[in-house]
Amino acid sequence: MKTFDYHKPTSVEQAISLLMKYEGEAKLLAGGTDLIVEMRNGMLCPKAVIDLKDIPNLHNLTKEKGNLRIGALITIKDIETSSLIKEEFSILAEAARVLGSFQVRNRATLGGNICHASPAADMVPPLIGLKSKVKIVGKADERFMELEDFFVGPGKTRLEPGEILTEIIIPKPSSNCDGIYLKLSPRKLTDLAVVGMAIVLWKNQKAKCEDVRIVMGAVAPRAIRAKEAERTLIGNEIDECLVRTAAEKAMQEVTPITDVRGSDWYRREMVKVLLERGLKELQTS
Amino acid sequence: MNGSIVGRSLPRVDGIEKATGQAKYVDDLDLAGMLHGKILRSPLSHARIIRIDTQKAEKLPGVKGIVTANDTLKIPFSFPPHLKDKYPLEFEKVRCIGDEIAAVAAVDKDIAEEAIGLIDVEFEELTSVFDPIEAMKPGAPEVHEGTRNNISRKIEWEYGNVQKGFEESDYVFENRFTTSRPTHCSLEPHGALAYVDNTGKLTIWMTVQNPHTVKEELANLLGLASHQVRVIKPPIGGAFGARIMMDPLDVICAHLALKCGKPVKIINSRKEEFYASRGRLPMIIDLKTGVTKDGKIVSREATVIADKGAYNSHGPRVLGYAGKALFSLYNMPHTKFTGLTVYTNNPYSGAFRGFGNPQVTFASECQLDMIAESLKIDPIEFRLKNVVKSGDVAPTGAKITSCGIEECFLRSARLSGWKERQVERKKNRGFGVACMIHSSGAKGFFGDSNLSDSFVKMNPDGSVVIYSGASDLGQGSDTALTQIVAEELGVNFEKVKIVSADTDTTPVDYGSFGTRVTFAAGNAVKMAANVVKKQIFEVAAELLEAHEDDLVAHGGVVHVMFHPGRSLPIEKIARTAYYDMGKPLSGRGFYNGPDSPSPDVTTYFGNTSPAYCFAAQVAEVEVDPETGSVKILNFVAAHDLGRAINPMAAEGQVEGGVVQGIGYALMEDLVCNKGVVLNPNFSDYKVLKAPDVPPIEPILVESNDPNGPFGAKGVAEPALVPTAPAIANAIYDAIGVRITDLPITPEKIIRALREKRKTSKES
Repeated sequence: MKTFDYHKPTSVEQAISLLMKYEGEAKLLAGGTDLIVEMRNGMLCPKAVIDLKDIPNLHNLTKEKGNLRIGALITIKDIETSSLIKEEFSILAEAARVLGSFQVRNRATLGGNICHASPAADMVPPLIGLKSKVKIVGKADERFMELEDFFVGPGKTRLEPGEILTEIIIPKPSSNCDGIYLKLSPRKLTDLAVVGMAIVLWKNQKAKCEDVRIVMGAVAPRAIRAKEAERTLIGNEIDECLVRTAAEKAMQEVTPITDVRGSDWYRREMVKVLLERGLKELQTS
Repeated sequence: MNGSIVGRSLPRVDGIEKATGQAKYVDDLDLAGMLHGKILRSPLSHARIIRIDTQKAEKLPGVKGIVTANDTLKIPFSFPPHLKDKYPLEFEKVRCIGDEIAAVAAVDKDIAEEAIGLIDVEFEELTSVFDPIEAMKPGAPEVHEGTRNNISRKIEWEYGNVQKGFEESDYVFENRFTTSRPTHCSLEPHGALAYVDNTGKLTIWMTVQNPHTVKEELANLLGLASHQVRVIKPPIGGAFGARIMMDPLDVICAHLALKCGKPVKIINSRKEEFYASRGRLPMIIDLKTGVTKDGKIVSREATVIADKGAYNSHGPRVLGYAGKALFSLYNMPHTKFTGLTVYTNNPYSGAFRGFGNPQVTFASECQLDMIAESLKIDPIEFRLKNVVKSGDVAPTGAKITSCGIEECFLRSARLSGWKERQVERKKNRGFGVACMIHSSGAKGFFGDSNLSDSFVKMNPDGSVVIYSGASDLGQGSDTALTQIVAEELGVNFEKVKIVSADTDTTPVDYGSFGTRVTFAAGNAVKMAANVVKKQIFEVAAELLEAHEDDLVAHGGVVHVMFHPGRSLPIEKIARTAYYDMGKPLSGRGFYNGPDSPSPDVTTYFGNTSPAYCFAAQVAEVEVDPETGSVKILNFVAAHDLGRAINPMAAEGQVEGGVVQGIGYALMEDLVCNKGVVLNPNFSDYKVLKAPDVPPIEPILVESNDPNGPFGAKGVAEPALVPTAPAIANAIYDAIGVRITDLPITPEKIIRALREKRKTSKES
């Protein structure tokens, strides 16, 4: 590993000043489960590492008016085990449980998982499914953005120079909302998704689909929604025939690549299988 | 012979040291003034080296020395001697990505790494070839100049007349099987620490399976006399065949230490380990088998093309043994084997648990199930009709001295519910069986012998030290040898200590490979202990006024048979021997078997191993027909290991082997594209993790080999040999698709299911 400057600011403002000072040559350190690995194998050689762990308000996990506010440094293990999350946002805990290994979950943070912008990130599909927003703080101001719009491509986000993602806000789900995260990988745990899929379903009084979000990981340069499939379902009673139609539409909405983890053909086929399975499970639960 | 120490699940002699983190592996060792080495490896799969400029790297502060081929004697190495093709540092050409070109020693790892980047190598890129079939075609690039059609070795033999055999058969089956390129994935990457003292003597700590033979090779490559080199194997974290042959890293490390005059340590990164650890040889296996309608195998012909990659390493030997193993398990009058190792510009393979046997056993055991299905015979019954028995000479000339395969089948069938499986068939679930034979140590690796030498010394207080050249690789041989000596001497287990795998302090042993240690080194230390026992009895006979033949030793006491009152603690006898009589208590024992003449050099026919291990494994699986995921519900592995010296350790070997075998069956594969490894990390090279391991039930079958120490044979390699075909057969039983290409990934299953649906619709 090449030598680098190390800073441990105690406020977001200080961190932003440091980021500006290094003009894009500094990296933010949260859990380090991606950053340190990439520095060790030489993929990244930043001039400076800015450790965010001493910034107190990045560690908050609160509920405000039913909305969940998760500080960027909340760990995956926190999400897996927090009672706040288990109650109403169980899909998040589900995704957290299948992310990496026990040791990785203890260190990795939600903000890090998002900002690393891996197309296969486990936390991103359920967060987009829950219509999450992110809070972004910059030198002069702060802004909010739909998480769905946050990603550009593998490793690329809409963060401007000097900006930090500080918080994830999940709106209060209605009582008739249910979600599921399905992850297909060769191993049961400690593995990367060949396909990851989050389905969040809002039903109305007549058990019809009022709204739905189908968000898929590892099948496009960033996590994407199967909007055609969603449209097929919205306003309708979900039956086997509709599920099949939606699944076939979802297959057409993805643009997977062929790599060592699976071929584009297989990934597309599995989008269909996972969507059918997920919807079926949500219907019976 | 029901011993009190042999046959007991005693804790490992190195268990506490390892469990508490006290064991010092190569990377834990530090010497004063030690430098860190790093190897410059080729980024190209095939290129001529025009010029190597190290000037810039030399000027980097902290760099203490750089070696290129010019610092070496340019002597090639590899097994066997006439197929030597690898230089520790290449100078004419590089033939695969990862080939060693130069190395740096620096005051720390980062500087060494930086210096590597400053070495300027001018290449003239050459056309590469990556497919063994393409490599054999006229006009293909020559990986090694002068090797015609890139065929590094061809092995061909025929016993009987297969053509006649096929004509006499009622049915003939022909299938092609292809196998993958898994690597050992030892937890500890390859490493060495070299130190040269002021007399010029080199001491090197290495992750090595056979310190004594590697020492000779190292001395030769360095131009040193054998006594000027000392090889020590510290505790090592796995080997699985990767460390039978010297690694270029070892020679490079020694050269750096000699050049810098300071200790130098080199440890492979995980990426280097994936490129350079010489995994299992990928094979294309064409298998043609003729049978009678009542299920007797008449004739069988195998043609194997192995992608050797850039260098031979153990490959040609692996190929030869694959033929031996394939045709030693079943009796049949006509057999023919044609095998080729073909050079390509892929990373090269070598020895990996099973030494060619897992590949051919996958092909053979899958095909036998296909035949059994056609003949409507139960797969186990079909195998039992043809399998060799104790006293048989197999088609290859292998002499079967003990064989428990029938018991392996019976017990694994009973425990797995094999017979009941058809009664209540569950959807997408299936059973599969496969079996195997494997030699337990073989001659021919080093000259024409199979030697293990050892000393046993009793101290004046009755405690014992074993000096053995055998290497404990984590498999537990130090414990097994200690148990054998304690049993033979009749002393308590805790009284025996072992010194092993250090070329200056232990006698020559050919090393730990080929499932040989318990058999060969076990026999050696048993013989040495027996010499000491005779010396003790000689003294005891005098003290107890009894005849030596009437004495027995047990639990640290020598008794006169049938006179329980007449006894002496061994401690007292030892003290008397040393201090009153001046008689030393020390013995030497060696083993070099089998006695049978070596195989014929032209026909390859003959016996190579003193004993053979057998196994039958049954897998029960459930296949998800939508995703292609395979879940192993239960796995039963019955192994004839002659006699379990330490049942717990033997069961551990079986369980570990099965886990590695499941990986071979379902997911482990080094994926190469144009010589580039696409998954040189544990994110994408998948090994099973604890939650993926199914229930495994080991069964130890004790056939008591007449020549094994206390009846023991080996169990190490066999554990994974039949695992992949057992799973492949179970997958077929579950969903009716036959995957003949390893690994059996979910995607291959889904594609095969689609294909099957398409053909059934068409017909």
